[in-house]
Amino acid sequence: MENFSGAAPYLSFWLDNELYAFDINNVVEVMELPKITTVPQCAVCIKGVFNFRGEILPAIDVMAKCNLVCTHETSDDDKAIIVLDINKDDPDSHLTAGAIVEKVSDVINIKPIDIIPIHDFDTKIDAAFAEGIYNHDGKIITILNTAKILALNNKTIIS
Amino acid sequence: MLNDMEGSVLTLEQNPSSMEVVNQVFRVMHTIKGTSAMYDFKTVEKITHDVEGIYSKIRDTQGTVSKEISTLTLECVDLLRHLLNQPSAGDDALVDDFLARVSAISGGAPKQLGGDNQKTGGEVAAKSSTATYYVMFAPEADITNRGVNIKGILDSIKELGENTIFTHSWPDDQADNGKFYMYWEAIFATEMPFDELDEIFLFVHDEVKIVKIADRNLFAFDDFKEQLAAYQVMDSQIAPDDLIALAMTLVPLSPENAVPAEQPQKTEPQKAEPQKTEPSQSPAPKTPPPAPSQPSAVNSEAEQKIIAKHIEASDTKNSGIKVDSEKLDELMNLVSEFVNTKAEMLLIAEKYDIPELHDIYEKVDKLSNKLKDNALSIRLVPIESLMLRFQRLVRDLSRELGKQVDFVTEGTDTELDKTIIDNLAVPLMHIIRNSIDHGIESVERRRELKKPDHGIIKFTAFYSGNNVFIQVQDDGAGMNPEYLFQKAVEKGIMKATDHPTSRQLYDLVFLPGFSTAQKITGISGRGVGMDAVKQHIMRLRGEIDMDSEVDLGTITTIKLPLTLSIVDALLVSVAGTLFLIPVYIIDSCTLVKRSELMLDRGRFIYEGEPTPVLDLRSALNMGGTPPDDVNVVMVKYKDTRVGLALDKVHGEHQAVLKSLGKYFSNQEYLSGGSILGDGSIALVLDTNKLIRQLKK
Repeated sequence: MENFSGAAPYLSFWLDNELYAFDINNVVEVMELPKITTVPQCAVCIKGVFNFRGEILPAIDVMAKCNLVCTHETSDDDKAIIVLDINKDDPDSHLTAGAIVEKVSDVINIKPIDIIPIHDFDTKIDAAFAEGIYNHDGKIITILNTAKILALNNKTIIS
Repeated sequence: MLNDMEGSVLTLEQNPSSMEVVNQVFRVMHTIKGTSAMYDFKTVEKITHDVEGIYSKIRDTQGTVSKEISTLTLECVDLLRHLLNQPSAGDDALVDDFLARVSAISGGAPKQLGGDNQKTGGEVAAKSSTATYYVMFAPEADITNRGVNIKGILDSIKELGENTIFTHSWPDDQADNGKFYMYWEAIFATEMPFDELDEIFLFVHDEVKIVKIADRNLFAFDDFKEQLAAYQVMDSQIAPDDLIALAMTLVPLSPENAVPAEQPQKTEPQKAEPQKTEPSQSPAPKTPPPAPSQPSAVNSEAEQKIIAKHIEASDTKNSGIKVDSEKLDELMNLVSEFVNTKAEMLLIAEKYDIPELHDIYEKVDKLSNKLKDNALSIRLVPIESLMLRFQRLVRDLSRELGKQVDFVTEGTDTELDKTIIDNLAVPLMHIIRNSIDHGIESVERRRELKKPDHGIIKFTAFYSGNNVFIQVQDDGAGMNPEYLFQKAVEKGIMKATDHPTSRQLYDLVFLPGFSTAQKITGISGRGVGMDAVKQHIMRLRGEIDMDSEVDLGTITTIKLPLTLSIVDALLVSVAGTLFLIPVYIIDSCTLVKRSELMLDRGRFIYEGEPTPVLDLRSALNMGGTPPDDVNVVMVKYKDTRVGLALDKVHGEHQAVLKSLGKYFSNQEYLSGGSILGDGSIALVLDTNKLIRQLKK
């Protein structure tokens, strides 16, 4: 989806007092934080599974996935799950999961030229997971790479 | 079509004098010849023409089909398959060679073709006298796209002789059957021989059913014509059996009027007479049609059954409906969602405690169960469909290896989900190959051992509990545990000082690269097979086992779960997480004090016996403090029982199994998840895998 100025919409949200965003094309739905059932002995970045309209989907802890540590504790009141999917058309590489976020923010139109590549910035996030940075009226938004966030872990981390 | 013919030839080998089967083969050859001529496949045309000629002679002289001929025919099937699928340059030579052999046989004295039967004229199927037929023509929905001239077909029928044609459209409740919205029934009398009739329906072969009603022109009888007029008024489908019954009342019973080939054997009395205008004589239903007339060779009852079943099988092909498997999948999904919704309903019923609601819920529950069973059974296919491939395999392989093998089957009407059957073909073929190649000994060796010359491979399928068992057993050389042990030590899998049980030794066969074959043949022996077979079976969530005795034989058993998607289970919890344990694997449930469990020794006393017990909380690293009162669920594990210690037992739940997805493929001990009535998720345990994993 693009408007005439070449800008694409992104869904922004809060994680540990910072703003991040996903490309809207990969967003299926935004929902209130549901009950999450823990699955024993699964990867650390997967908090468990939840019921999405009759399907069982994994709930991904984005901070853990990006190897970041949460410095602030937030209440569950505003928390939400953004249900994402990639490669809808290819059954082999199709992946769908929910990303747990602290608070959902606005949809922002961002032009590709305005996205600053991650290397030019000194951020705490691993460059592998982000596509770039966007300056939205003074606020820094880190645009995340959905495919990397959704990628399967090949190792099972037994806690 | 080639498959049908192949099956017919195999039946012929058991019953070389069966004319019906000879006719079947002849018809297939004829159809292929016709179609290939149309498309200018000259080679195929020539081949089928020549082979058809042999069968034509057999038919005319009421001869029997010799082993040579049946082998030649099977070769023909292979040759045709090859030519049609993967033609290559060297084919001309192949074809010429084949044709030469065909003419050698057909040119030979009649004695070679048939037995000593000197039947002429008399019992030969009436070629030049009139017969009355019933035809049902129910084209598929796509007939208009295939360029088939429907009117042309109907006109051809009209030209055959006296006729009545009924036009129907499918009633509303059958509107979705994948068929063209109209279908026709025609009753006609003609002098034209049967096989020429076939040519009219060349392009709609599978959409047409032809039944011979009588060996004379029934239109000569007013009663018959009146009956047809009555049918015209009724405008519903005609049952050919009714017509035959009617024919028999009009014409005195005599050998010439015996029901001919197209009829499947029926032993029930004729259906009640049709209920409308009575003709002046009231025909009383007579005895069922007599058995088809046979040449002098008398077939035993068992043989009759084989033939009848064979004909019926190919006949009933026209009475089924082809359904897209996607539609079936969707049906299953809908049924699953229904079961889920029903669970939600139960919660409401319990919450508000309204008596009428409870009653309705029970009705809904019953219906839902029936619906579930029905939907599941639609996907079920009898294992029989695999049998043909195996029969052919056994036959060809035993020839090639110079062994004599009989293939016996039991329980072939056992049904399995279609996808499972499709997936079983390859592993089963491999197992059978192994049996013939390494199991069954040569004739000389068998004589030494005072065994009958013919080895037996027995294939059995049966249900037990929630599983289907498939067994392949041979009476061959068996596996030698000593030899297996030696090989294991050689390969470093076991130490010379070990004392493995025979069971453990037989399990070695499933290790990659492990082969006890003395020599490697083209077919098996490289040691790659059995481990692949095991993987395959495990992917179907099944198990495979071998047992054996030296010089007596080997038996391979495959165990598969019956239904994969809707499972009755017990809802339990450990450390706040809900789990589901399928009911069929549960033996019993007990409440004990934690102190009685002796968890440090990993076993506790159950019914006086020390029984192994697993504490799920610690085994799955779930943390927290376990309660004092522990529920132990005893589950079946291999030949014994294992206790699973958990926190609470909540009750029964009909779980619709949902996959957890790619993210949890490492968690093998979970078969999936299920959504409960209140929307929360319970994890479904595969106790076998869990126990196996934790024992390591």
